[in-house]
Amino acid sequence: MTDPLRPTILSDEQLVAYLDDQLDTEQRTRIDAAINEDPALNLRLQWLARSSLPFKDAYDELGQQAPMDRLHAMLDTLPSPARPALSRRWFLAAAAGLVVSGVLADRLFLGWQLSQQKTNWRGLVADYMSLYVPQTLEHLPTDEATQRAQLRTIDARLGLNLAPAQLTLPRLDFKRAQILEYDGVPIAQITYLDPAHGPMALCVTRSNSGSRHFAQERRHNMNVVYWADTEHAWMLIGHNSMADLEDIAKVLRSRLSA
Amino acid sequence: MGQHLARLWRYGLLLSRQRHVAEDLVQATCVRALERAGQFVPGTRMDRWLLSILHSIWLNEVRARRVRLGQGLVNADEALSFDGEHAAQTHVMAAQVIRRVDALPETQRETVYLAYVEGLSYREVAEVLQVPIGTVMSRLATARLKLAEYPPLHAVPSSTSGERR
Repeated sequence: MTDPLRPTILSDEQLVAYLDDQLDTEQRTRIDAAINEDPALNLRLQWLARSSLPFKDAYDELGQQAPMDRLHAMLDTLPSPARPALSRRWFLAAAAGLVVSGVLADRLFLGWQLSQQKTNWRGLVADYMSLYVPQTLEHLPTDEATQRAQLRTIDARLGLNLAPAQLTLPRLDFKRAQILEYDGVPIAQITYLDPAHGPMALCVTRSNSGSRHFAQERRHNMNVVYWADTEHAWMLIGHNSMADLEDIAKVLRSRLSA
Repeated sequence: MGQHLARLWRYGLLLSRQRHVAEDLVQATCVRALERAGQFVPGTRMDRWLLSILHSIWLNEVRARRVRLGQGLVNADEALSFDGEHAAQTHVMAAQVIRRVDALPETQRETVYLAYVEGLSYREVAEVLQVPIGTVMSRLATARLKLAEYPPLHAVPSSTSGERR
């Protein structure tokens, strides 16, 4: 019951704040009481509530139209305060680090990320690979002990059981296997150097969207052949011809599924 | 920062109603954020910080410059955020919501966006926009009164022209 000596004159601002749940308990109680007593006020509140639209869903959909390739490419051109020479890696590392710290674990972006993930992880890899030149892969230790240790790291993160023998390719040198991470999603990158065509990579991430046959696409002027088995999505990316990549992909896929 | 690009872009689009300006705004925001990385307080929300940087660049630099150059600002009627090419890909309901928000004046638009899309509290909205909380409340009330006048959202599109009242 409200005090008759203190009439409840409620502004639209207060009613909107009530709808938005921005009032403290005492204010809420006061408005609840006023609405119960005053049918006109109740109608006013219902009228204002008509404006409660699915704003977030709508703008989440709009956000999916953001030109992410261009925006990420733009970000890559900016000097990093931490490690200027490694902007892409800085970005990936920073993204991973911030997720861990919880700062970025907001549902909005994660929702977007999940909706994009099936196609977009290849885009991320392509962005990354587009920065590779043969010199990137020079002077890397390529002894088998190092490679095995690198593969163990990938196995642990992605539930694989990779052996150097499965990954050895004619003509191409196995250079490095490493884990990248984007928004908490690990992506393994196994890099080769082709004497004729430069860096090439076999990349893999977890996937449960079912087994898929080979498909092809072009990203950043590189050829991509990709496929999936029941637990992982794979891609091969490089400047080799599409036919060349698909031949390599067939060899790798049969060995990896053996 | 890469995590927030899509959100910054759509906020830039909401303010400018133009896709190329939205992209420029995101870039300027990232540049400014890197320059001022030292001012970011660890433990606070980076997304809020970036949104406020973008807002201040829009208000003090881009918007002001466009007015001075006599280019004017884009009317919702002339350039909706959803141009034809993109509208087809977007859920009809989402397009209706965005069209209605786009028809609001800029100050109401940005306030509605920060409160209802980004989910900021009134106090946080006031901080990003650098206005008193009372202003946030009156903008939201005015915006809601306008939005309440529309018919309910419908799942099947009528003609685009019939959408706005």
